[in-house]
Formats: sequence, structure tokens, C-alpha cells
Amino acid sequence: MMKLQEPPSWTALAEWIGRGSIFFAAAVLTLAALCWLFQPKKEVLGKVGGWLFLTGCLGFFVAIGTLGTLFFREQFQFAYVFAHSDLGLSPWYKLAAIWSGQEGSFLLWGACASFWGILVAPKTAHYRRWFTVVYAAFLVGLAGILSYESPFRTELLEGRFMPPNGNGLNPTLMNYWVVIHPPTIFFGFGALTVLFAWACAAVWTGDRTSWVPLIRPWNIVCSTLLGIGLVMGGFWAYETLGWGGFWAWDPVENQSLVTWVWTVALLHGLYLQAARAKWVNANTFLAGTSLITFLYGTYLTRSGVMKDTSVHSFAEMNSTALLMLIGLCGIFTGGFLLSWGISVWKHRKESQPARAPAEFPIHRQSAMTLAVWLLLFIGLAAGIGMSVPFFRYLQGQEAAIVEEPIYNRLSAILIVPLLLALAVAPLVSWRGMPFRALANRVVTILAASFALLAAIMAWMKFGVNNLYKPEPGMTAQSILPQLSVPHAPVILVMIWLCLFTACANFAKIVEMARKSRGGVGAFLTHFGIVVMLLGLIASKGFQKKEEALVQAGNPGFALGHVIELGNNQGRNFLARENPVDFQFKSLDGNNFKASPILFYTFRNGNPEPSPTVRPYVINKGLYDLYVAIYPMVFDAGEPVTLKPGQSYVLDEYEITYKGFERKGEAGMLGTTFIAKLDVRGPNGTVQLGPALRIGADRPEFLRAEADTFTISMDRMDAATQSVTLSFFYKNPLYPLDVYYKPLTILVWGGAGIMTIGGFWAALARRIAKKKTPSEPPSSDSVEDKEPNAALTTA
Amino acid sequence: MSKTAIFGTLAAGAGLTAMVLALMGSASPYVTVAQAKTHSQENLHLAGDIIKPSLMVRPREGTVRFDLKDDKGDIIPVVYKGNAPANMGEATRVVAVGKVENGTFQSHKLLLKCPSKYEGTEKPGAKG
Repeated sequence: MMKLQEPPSWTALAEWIGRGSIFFAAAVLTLAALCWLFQPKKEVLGKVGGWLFLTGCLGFFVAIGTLGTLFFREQFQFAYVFAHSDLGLSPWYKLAAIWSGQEGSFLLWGACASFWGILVAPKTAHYRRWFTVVYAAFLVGLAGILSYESPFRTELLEGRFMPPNGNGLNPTLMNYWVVIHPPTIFFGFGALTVLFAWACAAVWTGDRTSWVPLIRPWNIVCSTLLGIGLVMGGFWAYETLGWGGFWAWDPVENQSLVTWVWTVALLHGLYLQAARAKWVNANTFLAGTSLITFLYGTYLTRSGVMKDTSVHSFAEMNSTALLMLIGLCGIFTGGFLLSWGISVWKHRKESQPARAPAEFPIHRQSAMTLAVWLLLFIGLAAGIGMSVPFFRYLQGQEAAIVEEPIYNRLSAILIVPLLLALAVAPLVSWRGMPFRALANRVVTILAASFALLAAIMAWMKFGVNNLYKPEPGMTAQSILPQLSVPHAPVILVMIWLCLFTACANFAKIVEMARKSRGGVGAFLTHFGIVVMLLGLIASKGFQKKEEALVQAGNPGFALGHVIELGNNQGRNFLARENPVDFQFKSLDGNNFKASPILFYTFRNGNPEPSPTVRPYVINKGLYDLYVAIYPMVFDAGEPVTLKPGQSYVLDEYEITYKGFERKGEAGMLGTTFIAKLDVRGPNGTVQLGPALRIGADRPEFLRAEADTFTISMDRMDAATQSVTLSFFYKNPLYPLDVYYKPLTILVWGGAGIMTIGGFWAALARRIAKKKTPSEPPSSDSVEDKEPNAALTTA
Repeated sequence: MSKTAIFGTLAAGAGLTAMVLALMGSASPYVTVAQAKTHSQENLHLAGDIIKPSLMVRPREGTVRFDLKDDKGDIIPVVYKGNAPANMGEATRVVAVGKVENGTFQSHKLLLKCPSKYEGTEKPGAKG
């Protein structure tokens, strides 16, 4: 009998602090916004507003700290702690449990946004008034949602008793990525508020120029964090879900992709504004709408409107919290777009400082503009695609979703010119260059890219034991749905494009390293992204997958390997992270062990154990062998009903039913019915007799044992003399998927380079900004330096 | 407004419209059992409950068979080609992707609800 304890007295205080800190934050931040609103009337209000803003933001930290304490002290009377934790959870997973549910992830969002608010607000110069008003208003909205979508609810047992244990963290989430991925990406989401509030401030103050050098470092940090967060999510999927991929175009992924694309577009827009006085209106629009796209995505993924059309199991929000989220979306979207529209109208005749015009049609500005537009279109494709179920819902139509191949096809169309623009942009100057001069610069890069492509093709042909051979007739869908094109050439063209772009950016990195190291970061980021894209295309495009069935003493075969079950004696399938060993052997002596994870847990009061699987990835340098395991199978065949004389074939055995025999009086307790079977197999024929005995409460099934399986008689029909038989393997069967995934290492390497490049660029911006705080931008005099570097010499 | 800006806006608008139409038009519909029997499209999404006693996992023949009951109460046998997803045993709700052939829904993809960091708990006042 489960014993319920009374919760310790301090937890009542913790609940009060947790809930109270959210209300406190909302109240204090409202006061902060009011102080800054009326700051022009009384100077001191700015100072008071600054302190109130800081104090209000700290409220979110107190709340998340309190929630963490409840998890670490295992206070299961709190519904959220009960649902996402248990006594056996390690400290790292207790930490991760804070954000592993809907309410906690909202709180994490609030805390991350507060962090950036505290850090950035004092550095916003003359924008601070409106920046703080907008920022505080947004945090008040989040606090309002958290008041109803609270992780501090104790409705469970009315909070008066503490269950002895919690439900536990979902085992599929239990991986190191759950500890680092959500905070990373939520720091990025939190930083979107900085961009939004600054955009509003720029629009409302009418100064849409001075904010450029101020916001750029935060914009770079935001897009870098979002980019890293996205990549981490992909790695998480690759390492845990077992479908051999990084990206599936699910709404949760698309939401993050759209916001990342928006911040990257803003990054380049700000660069164009600093260097060429272009994109002035677009930049305020992009900065403002980056948060709006995220709010919209949050509504789609959290409100429950996608619950039937996504593989993620989204929660349905508390109805008041949902109304608040819709209100927040509506007010911020409407308010910003109206302000932005008025601002554009007011400044329509304003002229920007003149820059030397481009002399040739191909110049850096055109290449960058094209690249940014294409990037935005990829973001829009993801955003519109994920909204299709919502649009159809609004139109009262049946649900429908856009599937992965459609996204892949559409993004491939956009990525080809995007890569070309990304390759050309570093090679040309702002003034442009004649086609012949560009061709001269390109020829070496072309040669290098073709040489690398040849090397990759040679390696695929001779270097990996022919693991990859394009299947005859294998085709890829082209732009036109009805037209299929050969698969391998399409992938090779995409790989060449990536190589060409990577080489162009690498050449630029070498050049910039000599001229201006501050400018290396941007090209390093491009290089990293292209390398990562190359890895994604190659590992998916040239992937090969084979299925295998492995049983003790009965090996399986996949991708040229014999797969034997290892010594799994003593394995505990109820223990978390239980590995199942398989020995892979090939003719060339390339032997290795793979140990994918398979274990069973009891959750959510379900009496049936629920399997959790994780793949095993063997990195062979230039390729991965990816071994995905499925739950053990004991059922050896469908139940079959046989009449006397009829046979059934199971694997290499033929089972013939001869009739049944009764021992005892009909209908009496203990009476046994025996099915007489002849089982003919590789070792000859044996007679077996599975039986059914009438028990006191229910019938007993007495199984008969063949070589590799057992037979059970499920039921019998005296009228027709027929019996229904079921078959079970003595040793479980392990289904495996084995993937060959070439060049996956480039995904990891590219992600690393992208990260370094992003932070390098942000650091360079900070240093440049400190040197030249608020001078008007110009770059005509210095072609190849970063715009802020150009400021110093303008 | 310069000619380039006007041309660019028009081109972007046309591109956006084309993309919306293409995405809306190529979306794979969610259907009921009755609708699935009349559609000829390949990627129909048939959502419903798995009738548990009918679930048969056949790794040797690479199939998973079960009867699916849609929200209107109609039942259809489903044959999925591939290994059973890990959480097949505990799943009650499934989306089978494929088409009807000879009275059976031939599926090449099964979507089961997978856990998410946004997974919630039942709570008072939840919508719907």
C-alpha cells in the first residue's frame, strides 16, 4: 500500500515564493515600464525605472531557482515536479527536468529574456526609454502566461500529501542534449526580445541609424545561439531517435528555423545599412518581426492546434494562458506593424547618405541582397509549410500537412542560387567587377572545388568497400513533381556547389586573416554553414540502409556484415541505458561491436512496459555506421486456426495439425485438451502437444517447445475439431536498421566552425563598437573591411 | 520608390504567392476510412486508434499489421512495411500514411506521438 507523506513545511513557502515571484515580476516590471514612459517629465524616473526593471527581471530568476530547488529536493506534491521527475533521477536530469515540460520551458524563456534584458538595457543609449518600456511589457505578458501556466501548481492530492515517487522524466528525453540544447536555444529565443524592443525604440524615436552598431553584436549573439541550438537539436535527433537523420521539418524545428533565418537576414541587412545605407526600413521590420515569428510559432506549437498533425505531443495550454498568448501575439504584432508602417511613411522622403554607386552589375550588394532574399524565402517556406494545417483549420477544411520531400524539394530549389550568391559575394567588391575579372578570380576556386569533388567521388568508389552503390533506377524528385531525375548526379551537383562556396569563403578567410582579422568571423561562419550543409546533403543523399534480424545463434546480414548477437547474459532490460551488444564481422576483417540501447520502463500508470531505444553510432572517420535497434520480438507468427490435416509454415519448419485429444471429463476442472502436432524441421520430425487445461478462474496454456520456438494452443472448437495456435520465439528476435552515412563528420565539423565564426564575429563587433561608439556609418573608402572597421577610417 | 524596388517587391510577391499555392496544393490530407477508400492519392494520412488485439508485428516478413478505427468508428486493416516503431506497443493513437489497396490500407510510414520538451500534463482549465 502506497504511503503518502505530508510535505515539509518549507515547501508551502517555496510555493508562495515561486508563484509570488512571478506576480512580483509582473507588478514591478509594469512600474518600470510606467517610470520609463514618464521619464521625460522627471529625470529621476529613469533611474528608478532602471532599478525596477532589474528587480522585476530578477523575479524570473527567483522563480526558476525555486523550481530547481523543488526538483532537487524531490517535492512530488507539485504536479510539474511529479510529472517530470522521480527519485532515481541523476542531478543533471533533475536540472533538465526544469525545462522538460510546457510550463518550465515558458519559465526558462522568461528567465533567458530577463537575462538579456538586464545585460542589454543599460547599453541602449538614447533608445533606453522605449526599449525598456517594450521589454518590460513583454516580460509582463510572459509573467501573465506563467501565472496560469504555472509549474508551481499543487492540485495533485491538493498539495496536502506528497506522493512517494514521481512519474519520472520521459526516458526518450534522457540524453545529455536535454541538459544543454534547450537552454542554448532559449537563450537565443530570449535575445529576440532585445531585437524587438530595439526595433520599436528605433521606430518610435525616429533614429533608425544609430542603433546599427549598437545592436549588431547582440544580433550576432542571438543568431549564433539560435543556430547552435538548431544544430544541437539535430544532433539530439540523430543520436537518440534512431531514424538516421538530423532534420525532419517538424513544426517545432520549423519554428526555430524561421526565427534563425530572420535574425540572419537582419544581420546582413544591418551590414548593408552600415556599409551602403540600404535596408533601413527592412532592418527595423526584420528586427521586430523576428520575435513575432517566434510568438506565432509558439502559438502554433503550444496551443494544441497542431496536436493531430505533428509527431510531437504538444500540450494544450490553460485556456486563460492561451488567451494571454494570443493577446500578446496580437498586441505586439499589431502594435509593431502599425508603428513600422507609420515610420516608413514618415521617412519616405528621407535620403540616406550617398555612397559611390556600383560600376558593374555583379557586386557585393547585389549578391548579398539576393542571398538574404533567398534565405528569407527558405524561412517563409518553412513558416508557411508548418502553417498549412492551421490555414486549413481556419478555412474549415480537413487537416493536411506538408511532408518532408516537399520541403526538401523547395529548399533545394532555393539553396542552389543561395549557394552561388554566397560564393560570389566574398569575391566581389561593393563597386563590382567586370565578368572577366570575376571569372579570373573564380577559376582557381572552381579548380579547387572540382578537385575536391573528384576526391570525394574516388573515395566513394574505392575507399569504403563499395558500401555505397546507387541503386539501379534510383531517382530523385525534381522541381516538377512528375519529373524524376537520376539521384546520384543531383546529389553530386549539390555537393559540388557546397564545395565551390566553401572554397570561395575559405579563400576569403585567408585574405581577411592578412587584412582585417575582425572580418574573418563572418566568412568563417559562412564556411562552417556550407561545410555542415555539405555533410547533411552527402550523409542523407548517399545514405544506404539495410534491415537485419538477429537472434541468439541466428545471425543477421546488413551492408556486407554478418551481425551476431553478443554476450548479453545478465543484461537487465529494466535498467536505464541497457546496451545490447552485436558483433559486426565482414570478410575484410573489419570487425567491431555495436551496442544500441534498449530498455523498458513503466510510466504513466501503464501496466505494460514501454520500450525506449537509442541507436549506436560508429564513427569511421569519413563515414558513420548507424545501428538502430527496435524492441525485442517474441511473437513468431500470427495465430493460425488449423483443421485436422492442415499445415502451417513458420521459418524453416512445417507444422501439421493431426487433431486434438482430451484428458478428463468435458467441462470439469483440470480437464486438458492437447493438440497433436507434427513439426518437421531441419533436424527431422517431432511430435508436439501444446495443451489447454481448464483452471479454476481461467484456462491454463501449456506450451510445447520446438527447437527455436514454443507453441501455444489459444482456443479449440469441438464442433469443427479446429485449434488456434500461437508461436513464440524462445530467444527474442532483434530487428535492426543499419545505415551507412558518408561524410557525417562534416556536419559536426561545420557546426563547430560556425560556432567559432559566430562568436568571433560578435567579439569583433564589440571591440569595433567600443572604438567607435556612435559615428555615422560609411564604407566607401575601405572596400574589404567590415563596416565598423570602415567607420574608423571614414 | 525606385524601379528596382518595385520590380523586387512584385517578384517577391509573385514568388511568395506561388510558394503558398504550391505548399497548400501539395499538402497531404488527413482522411477518414471512408474517404481513404475513395481517394487515389499516395500519401493519405489516416488517423485513428489501434485496435490492440489485432496488432501483429512480423519482423521476418517486415510488416506490422493492425486494425485501425477512425474517429467515425469505421475500421480498416492496416499493413505497414517496415519495423515497428519503438513505442508501437504503448501507442493507442497512430497516423498511417499510404493508400488503400484491395480493402487494406498499405502504409509506408507510421506516425506515433513522440515525447517533446513541450509535452504537458493534464490540467484543469485546459482548452478543448
